[in-house]
Amino acid sequence: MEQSAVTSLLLEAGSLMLIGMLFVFAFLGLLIIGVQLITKFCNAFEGDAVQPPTMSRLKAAQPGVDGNIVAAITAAVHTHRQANKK
Amino acid sequence: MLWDSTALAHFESGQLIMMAVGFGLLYLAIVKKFEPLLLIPIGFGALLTNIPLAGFSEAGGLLHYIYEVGIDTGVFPLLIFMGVGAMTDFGALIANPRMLLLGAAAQFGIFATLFGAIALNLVPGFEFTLKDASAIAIIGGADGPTAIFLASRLAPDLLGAIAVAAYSYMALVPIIQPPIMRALTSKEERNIEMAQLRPVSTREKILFPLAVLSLTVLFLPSATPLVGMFCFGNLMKECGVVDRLSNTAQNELINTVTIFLGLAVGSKLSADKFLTVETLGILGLGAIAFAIGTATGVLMAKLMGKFSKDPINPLIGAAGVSAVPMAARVVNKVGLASNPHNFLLMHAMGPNVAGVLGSAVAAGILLALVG
Repeated sequence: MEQSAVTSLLLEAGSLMLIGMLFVFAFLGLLIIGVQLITKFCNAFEGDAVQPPTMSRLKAAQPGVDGNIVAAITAAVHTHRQANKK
Repeated sequence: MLWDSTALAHFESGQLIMMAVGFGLLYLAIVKKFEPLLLIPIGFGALLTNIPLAGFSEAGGLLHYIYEVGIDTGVFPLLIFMGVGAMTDFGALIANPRMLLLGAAAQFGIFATLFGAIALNLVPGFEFTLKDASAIAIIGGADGPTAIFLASRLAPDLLGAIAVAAYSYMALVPIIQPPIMRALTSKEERNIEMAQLRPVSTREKILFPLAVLSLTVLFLPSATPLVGMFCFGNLMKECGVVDRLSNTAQNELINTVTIFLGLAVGSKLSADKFLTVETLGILGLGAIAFAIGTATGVLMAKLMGKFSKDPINPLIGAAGVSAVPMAARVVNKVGLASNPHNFLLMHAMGPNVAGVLGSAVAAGILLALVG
């Protein structure tokens, strides 16, 4: 390829490098702000936590079991699930 | 007559060499375990396409159609990208969004290589246009589907060499990166322990792909094929209501597409396209792209560490070159080598997935400005 053609291509590649890097940084920089806004939004409006299992159904299923024990086991299972949540 | 219908009478030296390349790729995949999921179909495709008289890659041949349907249209790499999206967990990045800057810095490898590929034109024998150079440079994005997608748009003739270079170097990440990482950091820097990441809520993870997509739609529509499919896959995974679709995207579908994508790429490994001096240039430039991306990632992490109140281990910058999750594992390994109690894997996942976004954005820029 001719020297002059290569030189003009090199200039073009150089400007592409500059514009490209600036744009990548600008885009991902905007995304940083976006993620921070999402985090703020989620902290501001906390959704319902994982719904606690309905006690009435458990009680109805096992009439002879002490309610306190059921409550303790339910709480333990709930904590366990929370801890193992992905 | 019978002799004329055997392949023996029609073998050309180029075909024999390319078949040897195909066997070489199979060897690397089976014995050395280099990216076997892709190198096996690619290597076998290379064998098939170079069989004389069989015409696998001519009109009417199987590989010809697979290529036309899947790669010429850009469909296969995009489906793979959807599956990758469904496998990616952005938790580490959402917990520490500044890591996006590392993913951005590592993309310098792409643009520097673009410059290098054009400069190579000064050497007699090389004639890379700006489109060729862009397609070659994206190897530095260390992202197979992105590289194949961009090459199919900008330089289909170079696709075989570019895909082989991209996947070979991704397999070579554990060999290419550590020396660069060690050269640019001191022992104290490698020992830096980072604060534990906060847990990220499901809601944030659901909103994240939507935010990425919105930004892409607004500022870089040319990247929406890649980013859009990626975000779609990620949303399916995170929303939790379409587990069936998400599982298909990250298992059956991506596997099916990988088989065909590999075969189609292999079909581009024909002697007239591959046995050129340009292939050597592409292989060389690809390695440089990787090395520069790694270096700028590490340097950026050092710079960020100077201004950050939380300590940042500069090694994690190297993961900015995508190559998920290999690059993050390499960071973890190099970190453990200097401090056996320092697990950097989760911290490196942030820049690692940021690198995927970064290289998709870079591909979008190249498509918009060069394509």
